[in-house]
Amino acid sequence: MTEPMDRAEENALWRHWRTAVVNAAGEAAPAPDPLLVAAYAEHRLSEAVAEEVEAWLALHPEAIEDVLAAACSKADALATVPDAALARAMALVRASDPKVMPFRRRARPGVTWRIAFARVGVAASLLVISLVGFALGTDAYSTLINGDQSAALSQDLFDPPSGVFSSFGEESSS
Amino acid sequence: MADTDLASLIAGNKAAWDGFVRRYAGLILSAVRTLVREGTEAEDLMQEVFVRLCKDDFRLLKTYDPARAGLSTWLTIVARSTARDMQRRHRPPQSALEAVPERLLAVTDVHAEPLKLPKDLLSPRQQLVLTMLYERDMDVAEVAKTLDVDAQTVRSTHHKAMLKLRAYFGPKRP
Repeated sequence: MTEPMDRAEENALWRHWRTAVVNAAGEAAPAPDPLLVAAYAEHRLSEAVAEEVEAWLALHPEAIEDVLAAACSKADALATVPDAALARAMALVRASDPKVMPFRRRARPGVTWRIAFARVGVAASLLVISLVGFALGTDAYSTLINGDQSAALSQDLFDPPSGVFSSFGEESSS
Repeated sequence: MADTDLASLIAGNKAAWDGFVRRYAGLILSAVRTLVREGTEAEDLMQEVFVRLCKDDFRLLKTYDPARAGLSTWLTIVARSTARDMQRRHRPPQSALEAVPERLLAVTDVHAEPLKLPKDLLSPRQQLVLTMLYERDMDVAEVAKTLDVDAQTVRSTHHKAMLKLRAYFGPKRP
């Protein structure tokens, strides 16, 4: 293209410009969308859009290799992939087993009402049982207090017959 | 891959995913292999690309538009950018000497003034041509092929860019 001397001078000019550009660029610009770069590699972009990609590529020379690689990529002339690596990649998506039905809770609108009814029934029966039990207890107490047997019973309870402990007293005294 | 296959792939069809992996694993492996030396690392990168493609319910794959670029081209760009991102994450930060801003390297010089470069000194196309020629050491034919122009256009673009740089960095700004 040019003489070696010119080439060296041009290279120096380029380096000078490049350093100034990198200094001015500051923060790295975000990478364009891969689809945009792919479209650029296939020369499918309009001039204006292509310019944006080219401006980014000029600051990211490593990505130029990507464009070159993408431009000559073909799905046929490829590297051989080990079976284990293939299996590992395939395992990323799991097969859905048609025999397995997805678990879903059946929506049963009557369930809540039925449960509430059962709980009310249990509470009501407990109440009835406790009332009946209380009434029975009260009747028994009244019978004991007011009945004919009350005096005899109370005497048995609080003043036991002397015969019960008489033999004991006799044994102890002897 | 046919559009219908891609549609069923995005829908989560396991057979479609397996077919996709079988067909494009070699392409992806070829794309990332040039960025690494060891085979295992290349396979790990390939796996990472597939993970990225199917992550979040195939979010990335859904962005692909067959009307804008070929699937092989797009996959190559995605694979290489993913591989480079991964390498960047696992490598301690380092940068080429040319990429380091001069202010960080230079010894303090009270007479030095920051070089202010006109934003539109070189067009994006001129910047890219110079980057390819001087940064990537590509020859004119390669640049012409990449940009889909003839070699004479590349020479002319280079020549005009150099004239601008000489004028800017020339006698007025030694």
